[in-house]
Amino acid sequence: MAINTSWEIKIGSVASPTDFTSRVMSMNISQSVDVNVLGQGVCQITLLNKDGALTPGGGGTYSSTDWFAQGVFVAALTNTGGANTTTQVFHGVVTDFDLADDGVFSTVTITAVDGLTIAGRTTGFPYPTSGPITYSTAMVLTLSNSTYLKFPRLGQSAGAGGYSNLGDGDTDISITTTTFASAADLLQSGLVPSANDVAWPTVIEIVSGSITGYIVSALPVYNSRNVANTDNIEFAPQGSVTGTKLPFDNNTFRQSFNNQTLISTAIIDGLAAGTTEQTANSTAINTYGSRTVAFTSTFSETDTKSANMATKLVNRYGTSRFTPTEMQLSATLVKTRAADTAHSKWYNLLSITNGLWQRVTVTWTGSGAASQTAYCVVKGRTINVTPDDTLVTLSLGNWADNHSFILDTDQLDTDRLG
Amino acid sequence: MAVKSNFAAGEILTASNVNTYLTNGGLVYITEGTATNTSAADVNSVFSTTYDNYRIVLQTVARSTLQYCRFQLRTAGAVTATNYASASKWWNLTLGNNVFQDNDQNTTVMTGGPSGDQSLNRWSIWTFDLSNPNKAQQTGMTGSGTGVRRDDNWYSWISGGVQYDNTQFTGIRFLPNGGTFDIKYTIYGYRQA
Repeated sequence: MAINTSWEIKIGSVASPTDFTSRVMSMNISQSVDVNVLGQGVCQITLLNKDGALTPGGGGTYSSTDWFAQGVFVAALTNTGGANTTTQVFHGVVTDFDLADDGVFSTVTITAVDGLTIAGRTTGFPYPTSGPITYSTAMVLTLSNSTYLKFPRLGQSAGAGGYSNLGDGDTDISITTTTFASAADLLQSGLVPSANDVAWPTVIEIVSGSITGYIVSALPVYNSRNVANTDNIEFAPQGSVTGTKLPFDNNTFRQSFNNQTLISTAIIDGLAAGTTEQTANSTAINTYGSRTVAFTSTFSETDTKSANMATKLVNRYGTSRFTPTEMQLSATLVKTRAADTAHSKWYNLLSITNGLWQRVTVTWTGSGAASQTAYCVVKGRTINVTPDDTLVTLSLGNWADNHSFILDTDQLDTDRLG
Repeated sequence: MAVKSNFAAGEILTASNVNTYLTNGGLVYITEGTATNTSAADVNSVFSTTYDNYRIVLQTVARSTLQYCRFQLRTAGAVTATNYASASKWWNLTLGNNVFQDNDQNTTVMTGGPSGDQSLNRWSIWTFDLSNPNKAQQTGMTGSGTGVRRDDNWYSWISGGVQYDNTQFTGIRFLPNGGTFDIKYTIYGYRQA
């Protein structure tokens, strides 16, 4: 048999969205994550509107729909000949509606962004309490604070954020009642850098209390998934795929130096801790010039923790590396090259929760070179869906720099401690 | 010794865990050595401010007569042979004599138990801890061992003692109570925060 892939695109309320799959002409999803920043997701869907059903005021089925109150729910349906496995790929809220209509043919292009991006626009967000608290608790309190953080309700009585830690990391922080410019500013400047979190919005679902929950998945402190949330994915060139490995298109495989993202000096300050702590790697500065990063509005608990964080950033991101940065595969390539045993790898790669910040192993042989194996982490992806095929382009970062040493898995003298 | 008992496959190893459970726990190897047919084996520059307490493992085989395992403390230039108060108590394993016997009380050396006898192809091991040998305060010793005397009886012993001088010792001399012996020693420091 083979691994088959199709799509299910629904738009509407969180409880009962309408299936628009049959109208979809093309779709583009772009998602990215990284350390110390909130991840983002954008989805653009072009819908067939030749019947005018979507035209506002056109008298069609959806002519009076309030599009900006609707959610977008994109799932991949995959199988190996039996029942479909449904995997959530993107969830968001409509932010743009673009009608193209020449009187003969019509399309509507809907743009949706993740719910956290919308809720983050709430202005003047003072943290409602102060003092020592665990980072994960602070994130839960922040994301679920409906007074300040306004998530679209999508048909339910309320909307709120939730925090899902996919790893084992957490840390004590000390928060202050500082008023930030926006909720996004509070999260991005205050909270996320306090735990060097890798956080990104994932699914929108009805949660306890029958409210619309916007789940933020995260890997704070150690930036490593725990065992339950790990599914290492191996890639091989399209001509030599076996077992659970997935194929990639040789022509799209890109490698480059990471010097644009080197950190040679890190400056960390906690609003409660008080003193600005700076760590510099003089060797890297003398070699590549100064490349400084500063997070000076964090909730770092103590000056010692701030100093440790600065040291961690400089140690992790001070090494110049030539590393894989991009690769592409397609549903067709998976169907024609991968074995059925790779099915779970494929749908986990597509999953919004499992596919990002997952370790991938890439083996390839360059022109005139020996075979190489590189360990990478998925930092982003674009998924282009057309009637012809689905193209998945992965943005990759170096694995050693972007996780914490995992026992019985990692390499001494290569991988880093958390 | 601080030990994290549940390191598990798939677990994330953190710098914090390393600092807590590895850096601050356990014995740290310092040195080891051997001496053959010696009446006094000196080991210098082993005690320092790095560690407060030390573990010494001493294996001996006597070359002649009845020998006891003993040691004296050294500074850079000399052996200290006064102001000890030490003793060991033995019981006889071969004869099943469970009664402790006072043996080898001494004021000039730290004393342990009988050394194994080479002529009988016997050996002994004495493991003891030293407290604060490199601090300007008294040095304590406590240990235990097993060995065989020339009468071919096996003994176990416990030993204890103190050196009263407030001297910052830096080395140690292993010596029998007469004649010569072969030894192998290993010295560890108790890792501390």
